[in-house]
Amino acid sequence: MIVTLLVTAFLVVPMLLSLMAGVTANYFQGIVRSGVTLQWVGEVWTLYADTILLSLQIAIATLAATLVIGVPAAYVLNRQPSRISRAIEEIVTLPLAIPGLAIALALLISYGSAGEFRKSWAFILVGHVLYTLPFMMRAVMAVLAAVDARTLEEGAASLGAGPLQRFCHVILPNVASGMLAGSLMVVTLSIGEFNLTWMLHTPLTKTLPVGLADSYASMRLEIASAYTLVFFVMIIPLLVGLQLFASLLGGATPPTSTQDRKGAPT
Amino acid sequence: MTKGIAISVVEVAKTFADGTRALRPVSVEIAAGEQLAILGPSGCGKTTLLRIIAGLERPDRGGIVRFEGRDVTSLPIERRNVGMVFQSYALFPNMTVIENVAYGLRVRGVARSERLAEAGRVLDMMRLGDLSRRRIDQLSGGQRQRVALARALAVKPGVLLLDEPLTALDAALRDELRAEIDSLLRSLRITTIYVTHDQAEAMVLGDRVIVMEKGGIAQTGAPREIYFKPANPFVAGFVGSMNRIEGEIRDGRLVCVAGELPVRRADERRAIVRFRPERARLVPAGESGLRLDVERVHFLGAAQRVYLRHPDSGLELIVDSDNRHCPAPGARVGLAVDPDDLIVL
Amino acid sequence: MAATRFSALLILPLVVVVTAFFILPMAELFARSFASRTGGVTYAEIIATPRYLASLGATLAVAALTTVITLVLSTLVGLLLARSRFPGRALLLAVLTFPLAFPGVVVGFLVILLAGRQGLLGEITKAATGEKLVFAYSMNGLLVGYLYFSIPRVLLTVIAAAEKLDPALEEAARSLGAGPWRVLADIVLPALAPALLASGALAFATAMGAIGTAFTLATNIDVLPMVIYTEFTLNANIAMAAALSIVLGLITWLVLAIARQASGATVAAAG
Repeated sequence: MIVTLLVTAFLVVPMLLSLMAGVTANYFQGIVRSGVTLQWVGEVWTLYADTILLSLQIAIATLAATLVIGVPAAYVLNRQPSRISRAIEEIVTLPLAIPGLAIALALLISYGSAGEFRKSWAFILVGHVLYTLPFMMRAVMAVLAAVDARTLEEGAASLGAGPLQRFCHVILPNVASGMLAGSLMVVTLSIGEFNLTWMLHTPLTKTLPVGLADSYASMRLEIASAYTLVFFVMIIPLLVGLQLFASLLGGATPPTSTQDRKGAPT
Repeated sequence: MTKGIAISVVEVAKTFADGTRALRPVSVEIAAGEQLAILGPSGCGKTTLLRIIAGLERPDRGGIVRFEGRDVTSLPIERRNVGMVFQSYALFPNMTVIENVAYGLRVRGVARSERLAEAGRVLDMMRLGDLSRRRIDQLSGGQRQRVALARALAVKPGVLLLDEPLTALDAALRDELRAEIDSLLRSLRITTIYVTHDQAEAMVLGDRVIVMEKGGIAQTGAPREIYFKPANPFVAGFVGSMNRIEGEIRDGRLVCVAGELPVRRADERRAIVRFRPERARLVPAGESGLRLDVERVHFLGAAQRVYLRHPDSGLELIVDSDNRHCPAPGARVGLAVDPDDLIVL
Repeated sequence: MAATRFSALLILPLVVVVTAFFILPMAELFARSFASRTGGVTYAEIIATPRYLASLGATLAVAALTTVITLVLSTLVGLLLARSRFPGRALLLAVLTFPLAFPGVVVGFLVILLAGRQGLLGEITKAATGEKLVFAYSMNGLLVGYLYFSIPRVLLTVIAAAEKLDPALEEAARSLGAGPWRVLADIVLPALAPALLASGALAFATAMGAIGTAFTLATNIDVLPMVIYTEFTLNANIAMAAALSIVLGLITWLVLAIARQASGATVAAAG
């Protein structure tokens, strides 16, 4: 149908344009006349290498934090379903229902004067963790439910295993797939996060998306495109990984669920 | 009520896009008002045939479907005015019971009050009146089945098509609904085509039974004919239980590993003789030419199924006997069959 | 019992982090949002100031328009894609969902590439009609940007829901005489309704809170997130920024909560 073709074109063409512009020597002359070049990518690295590295650093730290905080918490919530558990789940998910702007503002008001903390990348990390934690927890809880973790635990307990042993020997190995799916999700979201990060950053703690915003405002088109190209190169393998994972699992994970879950901040 | 229509199926075959040959060319003439049962194992093509008659699939080129002499082969289902009951009932979850039943009338442009009244009438006829306002998920399996039937009947179709209507129900419910559907549809005199893999169902519900195998028709006939005079080994084995003995026929006797049995046929080096379990009798070992050991007995309440085994050859036979005397497992017994009840294909 | 203490220990990090970095700050945000700089109540001032109301109205409008257009387009495309099989389908689906991970700034950039001063559409229309079509830097451009990241999200949801549809239901409707459009209206859309409702609400909430796209497209765009941003960073009007944020947060939270209730209830009734 025509509509499908138009919509597809609408979505795909700009991506292709951007990829192309990032390697075109001169966008005004077009790629055919001016040729393909990696000079812009090189310039991007010179100008923005620190943002790329910081984004990776924060993404990995966010991942570590959500694993350490989220996996045990998911286990507890799954194990003891009650009104309190549901309330906790609701609160954890709230950062998804409220604009990142508001959360960032709240953090600035509360911690804006905490000098060192406020100026460090840990400040941004906090925002990222709040935003990605629900995804990790949901992925893990979905797997816990699917493998009927409670019954597994009862089995282990009947054989004499104590709480820590059960958690380490039975629960963790069985939620590996949930942790993997959640991890892909968290890293993808963290790399692309803008709304929170924009408000929380300082000139010394710029992430990739923040750098992109800068470059769109001040740099020539080719550099901005090359920078976007770098972003694509980082994020697309993760997205592909997510989709492959989803199809392997039968779709428990990516942001297609109809609950109040937002994808990338915008 | 409506009159049933006559249906002609001429050289209808179906090969699907992935290469599966679901139906070899078959031809069937169905009389107006006839109750036809199509029986066969899964994969035999019965559902494909039903869907082609319904208009959900198109036959391969050369196949023709006629309703009352009119060629409907190229008409899609929505223009054929059929009533169809699906295996999963396919009741619309976004409508109440009465809205479901009235849907066909709504599509035909009948005014709201009129169509709800008519739907109400059909529901009352099926004694489902008090379920009118219920939602589908509040119904039991048996209730859904009857609502699906009511919905199909409400549009007064010329032919009613039922795809395994009772398969999803438990045994007791099945028996009850089988009788109910049978009497209802006979009184309405609509042409009815059932598809089922349950031969008891086929034989109760059909004036005529078509047994299908691997995309083709194995036999057509009245239930008794299919049962007592199977035309080929497949029908013999598929419909009901069947005993089978191989041996040589000499001078009016079948000679086999378990002994001898009188038979009225000409001599034959290698013959296969069949008979129904209920037509065989257990007799004391000395009184019969056939002798086997009792392996086990299944007491079924109203009947008794005795499993016999010949120790040397491994030949196994079944006898349905009356339930009064229970033969002891391990005992040696004789088996007698009236020569008229022997089937040789 | 050891198990309960163990559980408490396991959930402690979560409780600490969420309380310290979410609950308390949000509470403080709320508390600080009342006393305005001029001595009155900020919320009253919001209602009295046309600029704020206009920006709220504009934000609601563009979010609503985005949602409606997205729902219509995604449903049409989603139904088609769910039912067709062709080589490269998996690839197409994968590519169509990439925009989900793009921050708003990138989407803004893509809109500029498409409809900006040197945009593709500009070149095409100039060659065709002599007039260059440039709309990236206005509300239209913003709308296009919002469509860009909303359509993939709703599309995926529609495809997932469409694949769960029981084909027997459509065949049953056809057996009762319904043509393709009737089947769509009476059977397919009602079955998709919960998914459409939920993902539509999500699209609305995302559009309401979006800032990146507006930022990149800059100048004459006055959506509420941008107003909040300027109040905070340029005017240092913390209380007003806080109040506007609370208003925005309440709206998005409410929309999502209502949609969850409604689609949850519908799902139950559909059995």
